[in-house]
Amino acid sequence: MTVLEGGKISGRQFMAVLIVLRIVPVTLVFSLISNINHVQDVWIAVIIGAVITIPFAVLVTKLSLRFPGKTIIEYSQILLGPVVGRLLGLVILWCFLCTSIDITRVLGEGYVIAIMPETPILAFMVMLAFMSSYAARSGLEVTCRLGEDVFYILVFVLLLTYVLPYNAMRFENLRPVLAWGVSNLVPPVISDLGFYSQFLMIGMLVPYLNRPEDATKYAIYAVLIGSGLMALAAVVLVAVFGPTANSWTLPLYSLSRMISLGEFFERIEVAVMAAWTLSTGIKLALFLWAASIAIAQLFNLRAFEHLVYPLGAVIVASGLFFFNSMVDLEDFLAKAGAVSSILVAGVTLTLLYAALGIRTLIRRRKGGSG
Amino acid sequence: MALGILSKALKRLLSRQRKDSRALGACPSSPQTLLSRKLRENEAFIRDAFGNSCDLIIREVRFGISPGIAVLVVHIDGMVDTALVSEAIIKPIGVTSELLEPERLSSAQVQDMLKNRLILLSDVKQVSDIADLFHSIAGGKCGIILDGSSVAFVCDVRGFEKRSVEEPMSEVVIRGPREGFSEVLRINTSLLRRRIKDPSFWIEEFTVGRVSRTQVAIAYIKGIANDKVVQEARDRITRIDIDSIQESGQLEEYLEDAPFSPFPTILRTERPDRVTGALFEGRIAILTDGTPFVLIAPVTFLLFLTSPEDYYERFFIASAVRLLRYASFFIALLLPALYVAVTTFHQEMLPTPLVLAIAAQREGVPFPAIFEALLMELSFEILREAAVRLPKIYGPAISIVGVLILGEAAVRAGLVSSAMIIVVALTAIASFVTPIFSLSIAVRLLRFPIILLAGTLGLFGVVFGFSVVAIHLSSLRSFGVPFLEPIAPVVASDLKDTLIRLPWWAMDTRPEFTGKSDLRRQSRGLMPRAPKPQENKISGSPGKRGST
Amino acid sequence: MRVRRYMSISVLLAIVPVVLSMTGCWSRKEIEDIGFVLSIGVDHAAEEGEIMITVHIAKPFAISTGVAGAVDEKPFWQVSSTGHTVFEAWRNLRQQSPRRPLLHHSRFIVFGEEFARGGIREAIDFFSREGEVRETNTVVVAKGVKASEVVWNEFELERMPAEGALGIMKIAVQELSTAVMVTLNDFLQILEVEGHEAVASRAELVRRPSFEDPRGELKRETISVSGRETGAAAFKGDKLVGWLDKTQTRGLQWVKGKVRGGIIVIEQLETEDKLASIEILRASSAVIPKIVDGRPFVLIKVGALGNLGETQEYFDPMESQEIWISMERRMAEMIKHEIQAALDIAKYEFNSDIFGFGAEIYRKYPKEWMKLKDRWDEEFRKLDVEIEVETSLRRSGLTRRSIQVVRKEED
Repeated sequence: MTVLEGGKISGRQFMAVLIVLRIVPVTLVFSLISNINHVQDVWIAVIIGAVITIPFAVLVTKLSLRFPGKTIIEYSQILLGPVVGRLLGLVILWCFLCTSIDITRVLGEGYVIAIMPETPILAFMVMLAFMSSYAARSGLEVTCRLGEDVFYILVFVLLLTYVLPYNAMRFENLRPVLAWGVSNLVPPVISDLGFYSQFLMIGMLVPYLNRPEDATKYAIYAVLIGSGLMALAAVVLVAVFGPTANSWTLPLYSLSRMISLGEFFERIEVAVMAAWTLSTGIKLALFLWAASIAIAQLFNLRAFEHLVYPLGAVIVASGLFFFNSMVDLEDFLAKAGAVSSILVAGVTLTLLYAALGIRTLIRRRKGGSG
Repeated sequence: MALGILSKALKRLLSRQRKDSRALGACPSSPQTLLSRKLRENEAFIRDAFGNSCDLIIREVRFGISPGIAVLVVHIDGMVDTALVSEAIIKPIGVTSELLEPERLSSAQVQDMLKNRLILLSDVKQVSDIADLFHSIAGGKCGIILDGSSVAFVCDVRGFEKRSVEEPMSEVVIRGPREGFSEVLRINTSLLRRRIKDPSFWIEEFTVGRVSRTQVAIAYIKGIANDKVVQEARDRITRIDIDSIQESGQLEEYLEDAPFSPFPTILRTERPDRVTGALFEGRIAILTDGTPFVLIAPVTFLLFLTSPEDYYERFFIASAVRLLRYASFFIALLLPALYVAVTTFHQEMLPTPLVLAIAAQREGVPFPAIFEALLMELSFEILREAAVRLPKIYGPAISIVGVLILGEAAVRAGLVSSAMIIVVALTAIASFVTPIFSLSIAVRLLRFPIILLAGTLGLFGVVFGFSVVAIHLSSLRSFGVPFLEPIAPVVASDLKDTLIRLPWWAMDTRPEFTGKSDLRRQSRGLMPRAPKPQENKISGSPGKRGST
Repeated sequence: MRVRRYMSISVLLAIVPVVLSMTGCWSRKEIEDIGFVLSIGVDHAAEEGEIMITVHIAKPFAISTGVAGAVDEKPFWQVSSTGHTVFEAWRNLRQQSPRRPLLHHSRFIVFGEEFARGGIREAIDFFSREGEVRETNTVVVAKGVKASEVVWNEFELERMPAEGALGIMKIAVQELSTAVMVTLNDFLQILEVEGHEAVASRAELVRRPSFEDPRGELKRETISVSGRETGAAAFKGDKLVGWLDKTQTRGLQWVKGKVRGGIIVIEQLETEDKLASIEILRASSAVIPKIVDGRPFVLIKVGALGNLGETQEYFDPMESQEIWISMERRMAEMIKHEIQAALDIAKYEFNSDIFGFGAEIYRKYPKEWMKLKDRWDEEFRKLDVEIEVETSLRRSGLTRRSIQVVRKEED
């Protein structure tokens, strides 16, 4: 079989794209904060999410390391047999496509809501999909190289947004801590885990690492840094907006509008939006790449490049018709989408590990008897 | 991507043409490939091949005591040093006419005598192939053909009118060597050789162009340059099958990795110091006879934004200037687009007084901002092109008419706003900051689509355009080296000589990708230190002490 | 095959001009076709149940840019429009404005007193929902007049009313601490915080004696009315309940730790009727809620640093340490007095917790707050507040002792 993707990525690039993948929806619709009644505890929800995610990320990575050079789509076929494995692969592919659809629509909505209300959302979605497809088509290496740079830009811009509205911050808004009990935290944790279940992507990336042995380390770093950036966002949002923090459609965008330094350095929200466009582009490129590779591996195609542009078109079209309104979209991200992706991730992992366990058991039996 | 579609279409178009262009070119065809033993036949061949051109000189001298053996000295007038021909070839042969009796000597002995004793030149080669002889003569060498012998000698007596080594026109430095390459390959190689006095500096020569027979040389430092890159360059050069190569730019198009990219992936320079600098980083140089522009490969994008002077100036200043250049690059690419985006879509980004000032200036301007920007950019490009092509004496006139009268009058007439003039002028100046011309043309070309995008979708359009350019750049490779290295992929150790320039004693290693075979460049710890105070008897100034 | 190839190129080439020509109806708005609104006022309209908004829009062509020279024209335009909701009224504005009004550069949202007393809930949502309005706008209530009058009230040193008002307000906040500058974000937030009532900036018009045309040949109307931006407007819920004067406002600011500057005038000596001014350098505060036997109690700790700025009578601090210390003490008393004034009016007149004591209790004792919450109005009225002020005088300017007026014999 010919090699679908010849590129190799470094551990740092791996980490960077994972973080971009995690914080991109946050920078536009911070579902965590929109789903909590008493906003001051949302940072705790982020930490809980990270604590649950680390074992998940480690498990996915370890599993991939057992099958060097094979993606999750390939080794699920090995573990579960061609039929069940393919079905599972299809479910994962479906998840990749859903995520691509979400983020495309979210970015478009972001622009239409915040910056250019008169422009049809289609324009933004088409351009974004076009840009991402171009990157995805150029291969994983190109996407990840740019991903690393975009990660630095994104972190820089995020930190700027966190720090610069300092004169609007009131940290007393964060108190009282945990006054509303843990039940208050359940919806944001679910939402957080819903996004983190996208870390199934690790299963697609590990085979292309130039030093796979570092994968676990970088996956953990990615969770830590990603959650750290989000916890900071949660803290800053509450400090600046207080109880109104969960009223905003695009909380971080609104946060960047609060920046006002010396009459001149203000109104930078459009520039902030630009950084988000870049990172959404990278995330979409990664998912388009993963979806194309998955399709190619599921149906034994010899190249994935031709799939990218049609997939991009499909995603734009579905993005338009999947969701009626922004409310619809947010509702999906917070509830059905989050729960179903947690389910998929959980079931995938359990199935694969169960199959692995049974296989080793059988092998040991055979070894023991023979 | 649009570029991709376009490139595919072009590729197909070109491949179709290539098939029927095989028969092109005319090699001087002769019935025989080897020299004849008969002198007259050979002479006829030559006269026939050169079509009896007026600059072909065939001089017959006789070897040995009368009647002697006839010897033909053939060369092209104007290509050889005539004094040298008569001193080193004709005179020694003439001397034999009193001493030697050729009848006693065998043909082999005569040849030996000519080659080893009589011809007073260092470069004498024996040829028997008639085409070789023709090409050598056409290339300015002197052919010596003996009667009764099927071999001829070719000796290098080339001496033609040439430009002397002058200061390069396109890359000017304030500090640094003033020498630039000239049109003659041999002078160029000597300029390099003078800077690298080590046998490991290798130069391989190729002849490219079936008719033009242009000499092309690959120069590299054995042991530092990556052998794979050298082999790749050899392969790419020998693959070329064309009638003539006149300039290295022509060659570049055959050697590039990405023929449809607006960005050059091979760097051209007129400066020997730049070339040697690149050679020591493990790159290779490709020299072409007939042009002062030498190609360097593999290169990275940021190399196009450096100047040799960065390495001669103090590193703080050099680093600052580099950052300035990067900023200028972005200004040249994005400023007009950003201006259009901000003034027509995102007025909220500007401070209130500024937005009101721009609005006041735009009052009564009949064009939308995007059209205004395109118009002004276009007229500036026209002015620039005119100024470059005009004889130097007209230069000031153009700048007065173009800049002063046209700009001023346009603002006065209310056709354009003065803010736009400022933007265009700043962009123009920023685009001149790019040290390598081939990059700055690419930037100027890409500016227009990005302006269009900005006028369509505002900042989103600019981000889109910029991203597409970035994706394209990072998908490029130059002889296997990622073009955006060390930014994408990030290579921390290579940032020392790209974003900023560290002091020389801190740049211990060669670039990661090009210097693979021998990364270490110098011994460690070369930072200069002041002598200890007690030793420092002459200068007692406290400022010089104790710095570590 | 070949036909299809050329098709794709030609489709691409055809799309570009189509896309470009479509852009005319998208979000593009040329900068000269925009009316930049610098402040917006909200009032009740003459018709029952309608809202009137008033804006002042900059006229860029009347601002001298150096090219055309000074223009003898008012650089702004004030215009009102009405509608059933703020958004409708805002959109109706386009009937009158040939240039599309845009709120991006707006600085102030002004409510008329009458409107604010009736509750601003029905107007405020537009300002947080509309993307053009920045959350950094200052919320102002016009005392005694309609918002419209404040919106287009001119100032002498600035050509734009909004710029003038901003300048005055900044000075009042930073150098006097007798005004509050409440951003839309703060205002909206406090509306949602339990146990905290909002304040807003207060603007009013004062009649000044009419001058002879002070600008000579410039044909501007003589300004007889000028704006003042001091004090604060106190809300309870979304309704305006009253006004704080300068002293009370600074009392409020002391508690909130927002005093940044200002002058405290104290009696110089207890015996004589002479005064001294102290310049406030820095101040800090802490509100410490306590619950004793189920009853809330608040301790306010204020620390202030000052410089001696002026004395009316001879004064030499080197004579005795006691004089200096007594001055610090009197400064503390003055601050305590200001805080008490604010407390009194808030507790007894407005019955509105503009200090956010309730919120402090909620933050520290969330469980107890649940019980207090429903009867916080009475609790606040009965609330015991203890004020501790610690002051310190740092420097006495260029002179140490004052100039002594030597009594000379009269000849």
